[in-house]
Amino acid sequence: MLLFSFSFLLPSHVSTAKPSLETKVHKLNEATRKNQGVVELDSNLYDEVTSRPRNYSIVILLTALDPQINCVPCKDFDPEFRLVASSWLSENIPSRIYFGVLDFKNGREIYSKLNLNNAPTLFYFPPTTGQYAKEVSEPDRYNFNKHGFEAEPFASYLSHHLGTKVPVKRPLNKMAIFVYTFFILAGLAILKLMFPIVQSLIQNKKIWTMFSLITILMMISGHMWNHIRGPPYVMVQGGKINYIASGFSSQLGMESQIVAIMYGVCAFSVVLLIISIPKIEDKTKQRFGIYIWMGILVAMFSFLFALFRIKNPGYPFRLFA
Amino acid sequence: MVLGLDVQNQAALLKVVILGLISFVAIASRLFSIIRFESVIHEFDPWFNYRATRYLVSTSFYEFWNWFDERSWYPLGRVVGGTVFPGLMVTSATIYNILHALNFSVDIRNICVLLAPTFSAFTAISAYLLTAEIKDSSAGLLAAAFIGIAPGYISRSVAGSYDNEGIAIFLLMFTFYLWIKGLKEGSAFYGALTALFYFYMVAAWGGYVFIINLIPLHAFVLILMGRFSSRLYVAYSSFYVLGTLMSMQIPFVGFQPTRTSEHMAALGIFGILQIIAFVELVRSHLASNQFQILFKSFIIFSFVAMFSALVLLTFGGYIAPWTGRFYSLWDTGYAKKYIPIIASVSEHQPTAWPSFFFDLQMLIFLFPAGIYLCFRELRDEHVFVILYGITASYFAGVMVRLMLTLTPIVCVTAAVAVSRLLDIYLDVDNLETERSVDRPESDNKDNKDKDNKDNKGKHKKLKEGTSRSSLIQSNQSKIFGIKGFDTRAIVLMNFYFFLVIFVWHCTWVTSNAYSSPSIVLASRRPDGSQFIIDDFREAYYWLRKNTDYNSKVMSWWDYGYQIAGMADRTTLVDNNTWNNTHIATVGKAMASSEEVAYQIMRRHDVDYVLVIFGGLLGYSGDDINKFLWMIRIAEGVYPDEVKEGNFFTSRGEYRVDDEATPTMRNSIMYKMSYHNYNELFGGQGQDRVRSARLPSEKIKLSTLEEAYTTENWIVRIYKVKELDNLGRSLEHAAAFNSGKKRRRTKTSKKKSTKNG
Amino acid sequence: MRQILSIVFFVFAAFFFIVESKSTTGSRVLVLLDKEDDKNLYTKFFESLEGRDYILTYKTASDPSIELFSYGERVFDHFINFAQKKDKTDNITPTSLISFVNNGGNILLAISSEITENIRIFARELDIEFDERDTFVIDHFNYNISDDGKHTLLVSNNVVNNEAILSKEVIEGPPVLFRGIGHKAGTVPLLTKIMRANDTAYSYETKDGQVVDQEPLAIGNSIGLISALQARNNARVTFVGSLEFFSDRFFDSPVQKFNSSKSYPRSGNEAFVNDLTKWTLQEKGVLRVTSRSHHKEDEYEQLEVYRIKDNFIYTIGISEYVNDQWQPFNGNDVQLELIMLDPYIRVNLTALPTTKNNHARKYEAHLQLPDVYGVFTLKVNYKRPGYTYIVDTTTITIRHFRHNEYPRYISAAYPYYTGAASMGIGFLLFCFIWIVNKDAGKTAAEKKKTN
Repeated sequence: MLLFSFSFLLPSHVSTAKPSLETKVHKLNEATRKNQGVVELDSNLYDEVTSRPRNYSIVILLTALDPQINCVPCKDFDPEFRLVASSWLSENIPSRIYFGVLDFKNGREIYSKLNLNNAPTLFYFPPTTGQYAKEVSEPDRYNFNKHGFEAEPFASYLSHHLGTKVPVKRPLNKMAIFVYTFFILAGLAILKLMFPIVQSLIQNKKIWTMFSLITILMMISGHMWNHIRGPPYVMVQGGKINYIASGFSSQLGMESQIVAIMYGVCAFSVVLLIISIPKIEDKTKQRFGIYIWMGILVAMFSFLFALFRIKNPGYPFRLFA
Repeated sequence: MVLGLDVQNQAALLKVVILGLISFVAIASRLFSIIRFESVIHEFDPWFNYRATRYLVSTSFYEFWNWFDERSWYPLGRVVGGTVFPGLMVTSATIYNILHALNFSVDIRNICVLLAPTFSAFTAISAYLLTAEIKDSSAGLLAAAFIGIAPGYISRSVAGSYDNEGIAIFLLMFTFYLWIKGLKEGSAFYGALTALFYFYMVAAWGGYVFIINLIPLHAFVLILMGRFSSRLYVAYSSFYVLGTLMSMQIPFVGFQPTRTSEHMAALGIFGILQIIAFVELVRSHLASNQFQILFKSFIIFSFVAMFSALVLLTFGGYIAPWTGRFYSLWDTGYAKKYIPIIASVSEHQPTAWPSFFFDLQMLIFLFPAGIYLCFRELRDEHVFVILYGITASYFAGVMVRLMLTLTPIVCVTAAVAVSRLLDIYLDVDNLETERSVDRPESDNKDNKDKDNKDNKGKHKKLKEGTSRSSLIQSNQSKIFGIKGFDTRAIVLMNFYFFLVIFVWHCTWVTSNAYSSPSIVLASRRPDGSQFIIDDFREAYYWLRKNTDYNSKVMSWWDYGYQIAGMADRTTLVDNNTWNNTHIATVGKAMASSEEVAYQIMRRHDVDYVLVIFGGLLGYSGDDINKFLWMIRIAEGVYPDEVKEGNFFTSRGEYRVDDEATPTMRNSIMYKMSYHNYNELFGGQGQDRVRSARLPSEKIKLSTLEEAYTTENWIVRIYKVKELDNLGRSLEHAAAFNSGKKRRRTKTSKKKSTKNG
Repeated sequence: MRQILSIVFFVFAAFFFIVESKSTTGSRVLVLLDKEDDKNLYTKFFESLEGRDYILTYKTASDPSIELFSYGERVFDHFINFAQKKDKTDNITPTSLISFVNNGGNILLAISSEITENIRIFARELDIEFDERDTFVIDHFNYNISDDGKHTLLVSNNVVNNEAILSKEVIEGPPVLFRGIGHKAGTVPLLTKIMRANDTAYSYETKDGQVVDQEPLAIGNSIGLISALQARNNARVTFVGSLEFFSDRFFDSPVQKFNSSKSYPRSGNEAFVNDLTKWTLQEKGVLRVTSRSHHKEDEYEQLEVYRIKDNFIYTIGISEYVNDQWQPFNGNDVQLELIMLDPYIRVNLTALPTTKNNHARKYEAHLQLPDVYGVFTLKVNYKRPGYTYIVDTTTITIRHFRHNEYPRYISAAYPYYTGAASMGIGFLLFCFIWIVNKDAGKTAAEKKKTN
């Protein structure tokens, strides 16, 4: 007993002597059970568990959670990874696959050995012996660009490799449910209490008008494009801030907002010319109003032309030569 | 009295003449492509429609209905009758038969080419009718003029673009007009007519789903606004029942109206209307307040019950959830992740703002103004316009292609805005002298029987526009009109100028952007003369004239319809992308090495392979640029055999030059594209699309041999070799033919010692 | 007129000629010899060929006028090569031989230990590797007693047991004499090893005092003595590793194996060669499809489009060329496959009985077409060693039900029929009451007003 615990505490150089399969599995099982399905690795342990022979699969996430490094995808993926690990632990025999995590601060050697310069990186090591062994024993690299950073595609990736279903059981967040029900109930209560106000809000034509017009203006100025493609808000190029993307079928966040405002101003001036101007009784005021708003309309329109000519240099028309 | 007509008739005559002229302009501005090129069918899908129409004309309707096309999707075949919207083909065939009955022996091709322009004239007329219902006939004329030339609609309806949308937009507008009309009059007759045109729309275009959701939405919003009326009840019920029954007669739609989520809203509103109507009936006999509360809660309860039943049925699998194409409209990231075949189509990309401006120009900012004006009046039909405007602008933002459904409503609302402006600034009564406007009683009457207003004189019409707005605002402030002559002049002149520029813009866009048939390309020589690139037709005619009638041609699905239409050869996959696995198989063949691809091609009896290569000319829509989609689609089905990552260099670049990955270089797509290309340059070839220099080593093909390459190398056709007659591998046979003798391998030891 | 007549006559004569030849593919044979005189060594062989109506054209290998093709057309139907000397003129190159085969010509190659490089390369393309020049197949246990001590004159009856190639008399008859070079045949399925060496054989040079110190190309019965390849277009190429095999001397020589008491007055070579040439020159083992038809059960018209689940009959007629005439084929293992990417149906075709006048046997299959629509290939893929290949494909289209082929009145729809009928009756009833009852109309109008 003493010997065993001693060997467990031995420093790294012992592990360079090939550890037996049983010790490896034992170690992994221990660590897995202790840490909700995830084995925290360091450089030595990494070498040990990935060495052959393996009668188990192991996925190892090379990550960098150190706040100094500020790796956003690492932080995004970490809980998802642990979720898959714990789901697997709760469902299946743990010895089939293990989930290892190697943080950059514990495993610089591995990073430099593998010549890695981006995190997170995830490797799947297939078993080399045992009933699940396959012909391919080289580790497979998980493609984050393709699969993304969520648990479900990761689980299906593992299912594909293992040949059995890897579940994802998102734990019910009891607190969240509680909070949500509370808010819904509170909302309903407020609705009940303030029903007259809410009713007047709902039945208020102006609010609906504003809401509809803003929706339409956002849509026709390419908001959905921004939503789907996620362009930068502005582009900084050589110290200069660009508001306008080059190219006919691309745009920047700022650019579409400028366009929305310009459309809004144009529409507003047309509406004023139709609705408000005829209501002015004083002749001079009316004339003044017409000139002002017509001027604004013409200016905005010509500005719109100018903007469009930037996007489409071949465009021949403009308002002013 | 002009021509002996009174004012009313003069106005009617004038309207007819103006509408006639608008129709003429609408047709004429779509003829650029015929004048520039020739009377040909454009693009891809139209080729299928054309082929189907020819089949329909040459056989009978029932033959078409039961058409099993064994010359596409080889060897699976395609049940065309059950997977096609037959409206377009039946329309042209009907026109063809009528013309032939009258002894006009017009070629079916010309009918197909000119169908979309003809229907655009009808669209203009139905836009006139719809807008006349919304405001008045002068706005209607403006709307007709706008939609006649708006590029957003022209993009899908130039001569030769023989596609479903060409007639569908007319049907959309006319159905909406009939719906408004039916709603206003509470007429079952108009409701039934709506259903009839809805049926035509269902037969013509998958976009009918827009109608079957927008009209219920309109009804629902009207109910929420407390505007339930027997008119709504009659119009909606007659429309829904008849329309649904009729739409189920189209085999492609079948039982979908009862089983898919897209149609459930319409069914739900139908149910709610019945309940409300029943409650209203009971209420009219009972006066008690308690009962009313009871009934209200009954309505709410039944609504909730219906909704939860819908959800349960959906989860139970009785009702199909939203199909991928529609679902991707809501969850915009969905298609990219799960259905690469939808995401790969350029029409399904979101729309950036320049496209809106390009397609609608000044109408785009008159659109919100018009919506605002609708809000000020807010009769039932204005609610409809507003809802249409909001939903269509969302859809147009998500998918470039749906700009088409936005265009009509933009034209209508912009026409409302412009016509209102003209009403005010052209109203002669207010000029200088008139201080205030006291509307006479007769105008009030106008308002009540507004349906008769088409019969009224033009002069009255102008007044009516202002009068109605004055009525609505009469309790807020008075309308004084525009007093200065100069101010009127400046506004009118400016808007006149805007309209002129709009016409220029539309003509320019039509002529430059939307009139290319895409099967014939045009470019300019350095000296400015036109240079027609006709490689596609050259290749298809080569296939038609030089290959066996039963040859099977493998190509990427984009070209399937064209090969079937122009070359008349059997294809493996085409633009009707109904079988993802089959497409993925073709993608896999293209992305694999020769040995793997040869197995696939033999299995599918492929005789020829056709690839599009733009490297010589700089034609960027070629197969190497589409290759990543082929790989992606193939990987979706064969994840173990095709891996996208293998086509990218270690730095994540997609290269074709010296740094191209081995997988890339071994794929037959790469080999077929660049085979013998270096020889053309006498050294290293230069790819002008990807501006790359090719690797200098020669590309060897052993299982395929070049059969034909067009003038500008855009289309390259390869023949798949038979198995070697002597049982050798084709690689060996090719090596032997090129002069390499097979080496003796097994006894080399012996030989060397002997010689030594 | 006379000219025309003579042309007609000529055409007829040519036609007659081709029909009358014993081979199914033609009678023009090119024989290549080292010297013109060499043909006297093989008189019996050539006489037997001429006796079978072949037109032999003798050329020497150095003759520059040898052409296998003229203006792209094959000028000979068969090619027999006895020439061993290094060719000075290279008209017979591996490439031309391969294109001769690809164009349907048959080749019989007799090869001695002086094998030329061209032949070797040609053989290699067919996956046959000959041993080095000057090597012989040696067998210290199976040589003829008349051997000169080098044990290269082999006695063999290790021949393939295939009656399509060799007749029963030859297989069971006297052994044959063989002296020559050995080869190793590869794994190409088109190859047939007609005669192999015995287990005790090996292949080596026979210079005096030589010691076997290297691994030979092949040993034992993996040494091929006579092999043949039937190409996919049914052209046959036969390699015989011994030139003397065809000689009059061997034909007439008595055979007695060393250490064996059994002796034969004449070797089996003549009968063997007779069969071998018959097979190589397409006189036997030749099958052909004479007819093929398919139709629906209880109909007789052959359609291109059938419906799913149709009952379907497929018939194919096959005849075999036996003893200079086409006779019904007797095989009973012919199969039919119905393929769309994968075989959907694979059945044995039943052989129908024949009468005397029949030249072909009909095979028939009754099947129900699958419940899948698409373009299907009906394929009879009959490949048996020794016989020419039969790959007969027809495509048929299987379509879905037409709209009027579904059952019209189904019990599941009775509720709907009832619904529609009751609706119609109700409507009529309602209209009737509406018209008859005047008061009802009035009240409705009144109600409208109040609304």
